[in-house]
Amino acid sequence: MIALTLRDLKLAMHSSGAWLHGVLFLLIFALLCAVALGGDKTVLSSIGPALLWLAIIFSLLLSFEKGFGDDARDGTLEQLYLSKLSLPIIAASKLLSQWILIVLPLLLAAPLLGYGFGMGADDIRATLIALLLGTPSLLVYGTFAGVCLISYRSGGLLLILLTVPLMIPTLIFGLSAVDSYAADGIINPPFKALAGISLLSVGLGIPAIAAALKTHLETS
Amino acid sequence: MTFAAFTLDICGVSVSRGARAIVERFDLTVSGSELVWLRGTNGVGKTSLLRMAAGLSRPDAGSVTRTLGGAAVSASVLTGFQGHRDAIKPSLTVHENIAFWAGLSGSPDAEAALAKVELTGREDQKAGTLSAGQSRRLALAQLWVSQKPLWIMDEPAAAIDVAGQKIIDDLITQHVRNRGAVMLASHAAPRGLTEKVRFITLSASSVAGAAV
Repeated sequence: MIALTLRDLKLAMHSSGAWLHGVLFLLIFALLCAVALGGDKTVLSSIGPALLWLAIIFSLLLSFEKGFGDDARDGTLEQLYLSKLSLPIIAASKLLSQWILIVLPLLLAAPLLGYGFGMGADDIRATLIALLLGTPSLLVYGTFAGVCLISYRSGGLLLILLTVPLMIPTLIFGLSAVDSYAADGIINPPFKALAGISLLSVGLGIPAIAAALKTHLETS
Repeated sequence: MTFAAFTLDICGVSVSRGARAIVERFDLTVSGSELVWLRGTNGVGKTSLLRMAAGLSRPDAGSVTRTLGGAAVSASVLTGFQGHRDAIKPSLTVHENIAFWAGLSGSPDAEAALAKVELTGREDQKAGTLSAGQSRRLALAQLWVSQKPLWIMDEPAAAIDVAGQKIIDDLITQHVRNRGAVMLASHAAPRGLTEKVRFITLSASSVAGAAV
């Protein structure tokens, strides 16, 4: 499983920075927000957490199509299926590599943007913890939808339509977690809800992605 | 290495593409030291049948059972598959490609496999710079390191020159002598294959098997 994840990372290193597109998009989104809101730090700092969540959701939506697409097109997926690895292991290792390549750079960039928006240290910390807890669920939804749509040439829009409704609970709890952080710290219901959503979606998502991969193989 | 006794038993199998049945009530048993050659015109269902035999798809009707050393096993234990797509990552080197698959199957023979397909000396070349025939040979090396007893090969000689065809023939011959088996589909006439070949000719909706 680790071999598979490492290979994905190595492939990304050879892709002339394609994995950084998400971060680039995040920066551009933040820049445009700052310009659109007149650069007023009192406004920016109060809606900073919401902007960060939106920026990260949009960046993720852009990145989901990669997922298993290349592996399915070049025949790697069918060879992996016939290897000793089981489909859930293949799904889990892909989630891990996608998390490292797509989510982690966004999480690293988020505090800088929060600082740029003039958010307080507490708000930045709360937003980062909420993102850390919530993004695994977003990644699972996107990867699952991506696998379901592998065979469709123009699945991009469909992927967004399928994924966005599932993302809304994470977004709602993510923002209320930041609001309640000042009063209650990290042990408050929205943070627990975020962790619960992510655990549940990873737990159910791995077998769901495996089943979708099997369906794709059998119909191709 | 030689392989333990195994069988692939295809029994009364039907395969369809879309709504159209292309293979109906097909029976075939393949065991060690056999070379089965599927022939037939385009669209007659060779690829569908091979994918099903490899365990990549399920038949609409009938059953496919696989045994190794007398015990029922799953497709991933028994079959290796070489399809139209080579499962090669162009941005990785030849060695990185083969080493990954060798590592997955626990085979120590990545270099030996490259030598067999005469790609020695190209280890550090990006796989994307290989010619179509060389990519095909790298895919063949990947099949070799999978250490599977039963090779399912769909047009293994596509894009391959005469020297390359000899490499394929030699590998197939060696595999069959190691008590492996090969089930392949190819339009090319039998070449230097010295093992006994069992021909199966598929024709539209009526399947006749004949041993030669």
